[in-house]
Amino acid sequence: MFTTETIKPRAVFDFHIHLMGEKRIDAEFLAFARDWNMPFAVSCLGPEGHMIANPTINECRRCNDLVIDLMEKHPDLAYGFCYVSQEHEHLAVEEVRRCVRNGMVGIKLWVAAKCSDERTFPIAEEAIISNVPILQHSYLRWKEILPGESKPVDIVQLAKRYPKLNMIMAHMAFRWKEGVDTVKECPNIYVDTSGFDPELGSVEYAVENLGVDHVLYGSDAPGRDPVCQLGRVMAADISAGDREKILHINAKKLLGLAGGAA
Amino acid sequence: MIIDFNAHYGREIGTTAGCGVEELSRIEKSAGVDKIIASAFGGESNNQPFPGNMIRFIPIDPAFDKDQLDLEPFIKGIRIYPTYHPWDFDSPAMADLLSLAREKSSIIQVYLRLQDPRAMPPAVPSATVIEALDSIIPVNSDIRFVISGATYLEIAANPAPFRYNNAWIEISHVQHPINSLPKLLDIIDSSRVLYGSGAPVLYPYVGIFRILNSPISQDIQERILTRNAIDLLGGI
Repeated sequence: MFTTETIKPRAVFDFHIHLMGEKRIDAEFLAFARDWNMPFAVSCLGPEGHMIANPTINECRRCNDLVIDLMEKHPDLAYGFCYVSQEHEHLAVEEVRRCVRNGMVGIKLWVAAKCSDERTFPIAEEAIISNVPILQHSYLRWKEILPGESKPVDIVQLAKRYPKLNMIMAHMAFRWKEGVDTVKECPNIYVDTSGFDPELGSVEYAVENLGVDHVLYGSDAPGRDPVCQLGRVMAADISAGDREKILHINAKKLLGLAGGAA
Repeated sequence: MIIDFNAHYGREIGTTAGCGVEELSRIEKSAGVDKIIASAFGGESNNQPFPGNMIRFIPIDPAFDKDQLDLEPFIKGIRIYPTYHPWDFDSPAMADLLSLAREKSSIIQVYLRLQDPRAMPPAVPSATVIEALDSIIPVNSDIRFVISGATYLEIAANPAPFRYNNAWIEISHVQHPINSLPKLLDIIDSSRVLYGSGAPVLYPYVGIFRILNSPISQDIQERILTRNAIDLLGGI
């Protein structure tokens, strides 16, 4: 029989967490993160318990204020990503500046518009100036249901236009082989392992095709159970050193945090 | 001993390439699994030689012919996939299935999903099948049912069919939300919960890792990984 002492990872940084704006759920995740001593990158996509695909600028500000508050209360754990929508154009850029001034370390784009949309360009330029990455939601579906949902090809377009911009393709785009194959030509694109079932071979495929330095552990908690998502990385047939990089070193390096040197 | 109650061999399981019997055995061994409950999928032959660490269940669909079915090599269990192969639960085929299971003391394992529905879309909603099970399971109390592929949210929405004394839950798809396993154990008795991996679609070690790292007692961990399955199978 295994024992928990032998299989629990030494250190973890979760690159894909959502603050839900609902006290009970957020407290449950915080207790988990505290128990695992696990810092995390966090964004809020809706201030009242549900995610908003096309938020108003005021809703974005309320979301980001919740994250700033969380960062102030838990500075050892919470690393904020600023939620903005391309629909707000210059106001989105101003919101990024405000959030970075308040200590946020990244930008989260969801499904308001594809990231290849030209309204993303000023946000990308601000990300480069502020030296923060963009975490872009991406899901390759068989049936398209969200017109603003970015596909890997959209991420490639933006990454090629701005080679100094660091982008993270969330969820390995769900259809992970196609997602990885599409973005592997761009050295400024990373992937996170969050938000899809722990399919056999998914981590190994990303490591083989992108290089281990471009793979980040993420869970998509609290919607997903982070223990199951962590299990994906723990299960992968990779070296111990590569596992450490995926679990925390790569994230810290990308965000310029202590512990980011291999 | 760790017993995986949910594995398959064969080609093209959903969007997964699948694998043969020997490869499945290797994958499971490397994850620490000692015994595998496995069946064919995707047109693979049911009758190929099995390694000693596997127990065969037989997969059937509604077109099966009771008189043509040689159940002896698979006597421990029968698997059906009613979200993918629609069953009329009042049909003669279902009556035949129940009568076979009763006659041979075979377990019936009912699958709600093998893969994320966005990758492997069902023909029948899982909630519809769960409702049907709520009619079938209690009136067949002498037959043991294992329900596979349910999510925590599906179980919480309609827990009745999962709570009968002749029902067990295999937990490969209980992966939402945070703390999903302790939440499941709040509504389902731990003696009814089985570890299953979903291999080769999913990593077999994920389920082991989550059981050993969830805030549950060691006794319950061992029940889910081993003892409940042994009790259900009547020994190994």
